[in-house]
Amino acid sequence: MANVKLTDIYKKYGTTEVVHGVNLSIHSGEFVVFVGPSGCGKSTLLRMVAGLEEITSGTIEIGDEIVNDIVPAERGVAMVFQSYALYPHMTVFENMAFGLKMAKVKKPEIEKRVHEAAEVLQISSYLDRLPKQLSGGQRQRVAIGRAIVRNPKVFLFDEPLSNLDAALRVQTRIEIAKLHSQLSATMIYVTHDQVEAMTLADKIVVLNKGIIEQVGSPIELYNSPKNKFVAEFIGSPKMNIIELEGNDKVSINNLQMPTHTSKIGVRPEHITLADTSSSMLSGTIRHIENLGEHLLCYINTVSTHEITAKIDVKSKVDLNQEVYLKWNPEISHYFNSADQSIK
Amino acid sequence: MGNNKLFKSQQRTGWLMAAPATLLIFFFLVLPFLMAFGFSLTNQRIFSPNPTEFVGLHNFKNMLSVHFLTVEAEKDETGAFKLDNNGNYQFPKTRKFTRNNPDYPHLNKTREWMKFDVGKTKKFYVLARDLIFMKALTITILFVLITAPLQAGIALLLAMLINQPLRGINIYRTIYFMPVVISMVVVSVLWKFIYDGENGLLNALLHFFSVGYFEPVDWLGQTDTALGAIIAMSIWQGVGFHMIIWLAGLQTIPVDHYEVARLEGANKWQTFSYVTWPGLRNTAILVMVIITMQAFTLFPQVAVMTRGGPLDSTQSLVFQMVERGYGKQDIAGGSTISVFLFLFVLSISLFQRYITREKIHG
Amino acid sequence: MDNLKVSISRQLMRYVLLSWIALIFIFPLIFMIVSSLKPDLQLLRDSSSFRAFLPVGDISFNNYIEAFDRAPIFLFIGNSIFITATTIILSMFACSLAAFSFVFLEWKGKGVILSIILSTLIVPFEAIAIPLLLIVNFLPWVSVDGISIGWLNSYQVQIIPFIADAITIYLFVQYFKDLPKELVEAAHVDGASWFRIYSKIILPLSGPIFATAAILKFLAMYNNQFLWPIMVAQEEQFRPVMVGLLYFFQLNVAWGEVMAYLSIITIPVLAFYISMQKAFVASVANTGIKG
Repeated sequence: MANVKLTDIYKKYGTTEVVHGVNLSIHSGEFVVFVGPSGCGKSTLLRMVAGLEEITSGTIEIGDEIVNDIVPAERGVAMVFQSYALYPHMTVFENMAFGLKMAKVKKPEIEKRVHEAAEVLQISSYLDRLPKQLSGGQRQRVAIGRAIVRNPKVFLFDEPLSNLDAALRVQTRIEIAKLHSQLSATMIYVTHDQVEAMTLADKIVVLNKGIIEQVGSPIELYNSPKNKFVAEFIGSPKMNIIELEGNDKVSINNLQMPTHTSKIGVRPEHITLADTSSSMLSGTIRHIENLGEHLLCYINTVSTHEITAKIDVKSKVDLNQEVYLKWNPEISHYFNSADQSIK
Repeated sequence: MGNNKLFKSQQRTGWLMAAPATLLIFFFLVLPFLMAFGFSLTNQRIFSPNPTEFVGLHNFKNMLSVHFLTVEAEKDETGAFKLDNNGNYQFPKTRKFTRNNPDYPHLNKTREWMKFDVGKTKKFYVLARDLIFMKALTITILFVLITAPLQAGIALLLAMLINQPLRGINIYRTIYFMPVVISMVVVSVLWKFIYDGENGLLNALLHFFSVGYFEPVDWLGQTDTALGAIIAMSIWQGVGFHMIIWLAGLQTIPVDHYEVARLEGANKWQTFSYVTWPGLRNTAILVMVIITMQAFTLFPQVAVMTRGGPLDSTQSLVFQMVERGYGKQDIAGGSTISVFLFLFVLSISLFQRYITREKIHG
Repeated sequence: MDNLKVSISRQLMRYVLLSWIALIFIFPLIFMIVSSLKPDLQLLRDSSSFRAFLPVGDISFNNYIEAFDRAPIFLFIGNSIFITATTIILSMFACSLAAFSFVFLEWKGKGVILSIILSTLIVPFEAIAIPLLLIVNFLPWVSVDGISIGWLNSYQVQIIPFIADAITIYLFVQYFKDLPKELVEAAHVDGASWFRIYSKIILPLSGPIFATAAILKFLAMYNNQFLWPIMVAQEEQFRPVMVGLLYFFQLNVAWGEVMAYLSIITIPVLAFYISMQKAFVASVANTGIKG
């Protein structure tokens, strides 16, 4: 297992720069998730580590060795693709063995490694089948098996779960987590789904438009987002952002704010119903969703501004009802006019 | 900086892999074509005692030269029109103007191409220096203008006919496509016999089906039927090919489009114009482009069946190209036509591309 | 797509229409084959009636026997097969290899070269026939007898100029473009070289397009090689099948033998076509879709 270091990475396609100076250190054995909206550059970064994209400037080191000029196969990486990229005309066994064959590994050794990996992933009974005879989940496991077989220094995952249905996604997510602890492998995982990021990562890297917004553990990002972007990205439903300036400004009571506060952030799960005296914010309920274990209320505060509140399922609330809300001031987030977090 | 080493290996491998095909195309297609360009600017002959001279655009000027001439009826000394024994006006022969007439140097060596009456006392002539080329050009264009839409249209009708879920429909598809796998040379020989004026099968069949009304026609021997006969035969041979292309296009139209039309109560014509035809747009473009390009290269039929006759009524550009270049060993002449044909077809292709370009850009 | 039952008479009418059209497409062929079995006099007489389509009267294979006397038919067929097969095999590899490098590799000059190749689509062969004739007159060739100059009267002159063509390359390019790029990337990460990716990943997945390209190439080489062989293969030894036709039009034309020869060279292709007609039709449909 190896560490990975990205230093001053820039990527340009023609005249368009898509990655603007990324610096990142990944420790050996860490599970790092690159997360962000479409086009943020996370896949591009992953592919640069893999060697599938040229690095415009900067260096990438794997295991303290600069790999900029080294072909993918010799970097010690293995990749699991979003569409699995299994060779359709080869059996599962041949798919998993292909990389080893290219590396001129001897046949007995290939047999051994493929069978071992198949055991770990419980696909031993499919070794003779063709990919088209397998289900999505099975194919995914073969793709992972193909990566394991090469004993790489770093595992790379490019949105591996997006093609699976919801139930399968949860199941495979758990398997990947188990795999990580089993192999103690360095893993770089790209996704746009923040739930996957939160559940799998040791460290999350939030990317936006080619720069890193924040790096930290899931809990750090949840509790202490450095700016509005990270605050809104992590956590579902999204954190409420309450504007204090401009046309949509809302009046807040009973709350001490630091100076220069332009917006307040509050997570829906932290909002509770209040009486008029302790109320911090008031509004009208426009829509209620009952999810069984809690209610999601969409509350209109002023003009078009809407707040989401996750409240107890037994609460007595109705549509168009005027409600009063409050939350623990300790867990408020305050942002200045540059959307940076202030305390 | 960057992984230039990785990129360089792609550069080398890329060239290496493309090299065989590229070199072959360069030596056996591009190079001879450039040579044709070169030859068209000379007076090169395959075997000639004289050295070859560079003549610039002389060949092209000669080939494309067209002049107009208005001729008045002959008058006598008093200025009145002379009449012959039958009371008709008399006109000087064109050769008076086209053979070394010092008053008309630009008309020297031109030949009469078209003639129009202007009232009773004047005639209007169109003269061409390379008369056969002009005929070849106009006949080729005529061939394209008739064959292309006709073949495309019939192919579309056949495709719609074949697109039905009838049992055994594939047998018909197989039969309609059959002429395509037969060589045009074979087809030409066969049809030459079928078109024969005396023993021809076609005449016999028409005679039968018209219950004796129809008289035998020497299809390939008469100037007014020869080209039509070649057109009909060419369409017979080629329509199956385009039928299949239309068929493929028809089958990519989503079934639910038809279902929506049915739900909305559209009749056959409406279904065709609102569902079928829009879905075939790309196919239509492809079919027309291919047919047009193919039609311009009209050659084997003419070479085998009519050799350009009767009386140059089935001349074609490619046939003339081969006649001059290979038959008469006039490389320069043949090449001039090659270059002209290339430029002509190129401009038409570009024009076709232009008028069918996507007007809405996503 | 209709749940409505089309009435029997409607169906019958459709079959009648389809059959009439089928007759139009097939009658010359029936005429050709049937006529090849008749002696010349009867052939000419019969062709002014429906007897033209019927194998009646003095039926025999005489015309065929005579045809074999008049021209070395086996030689011609053998030549055509050799030339066609060799061209097809070499063409498939040269063109698919080039297409592979156009689609999957990045290299300077790729765009220009591909454009030039595609622009040759407009050039009809006849336009370059004569300059090409001059070129092949000066090309060297190595054989058991040593090095010689000039390719006239050989097999290579009928094969090599036709190996690479724009249509074949275009078909491969379009097909490769539709293959998932991630397969190539995965193979990269697995350590396969470009040639390995071509041979072990892309080729095995290209069955359909190889069939398409091969069929179209076959039709082009077997059916359409007419002008060029006449120009470059004056020696009988190297002549292909279409040129052999000339043998039947010297001096007196024996139409029975002509029909026999036409049948001999056409029936194998027809048989091949009928047995593989799905593949043939798919080829043309493919070119339509890729276009």
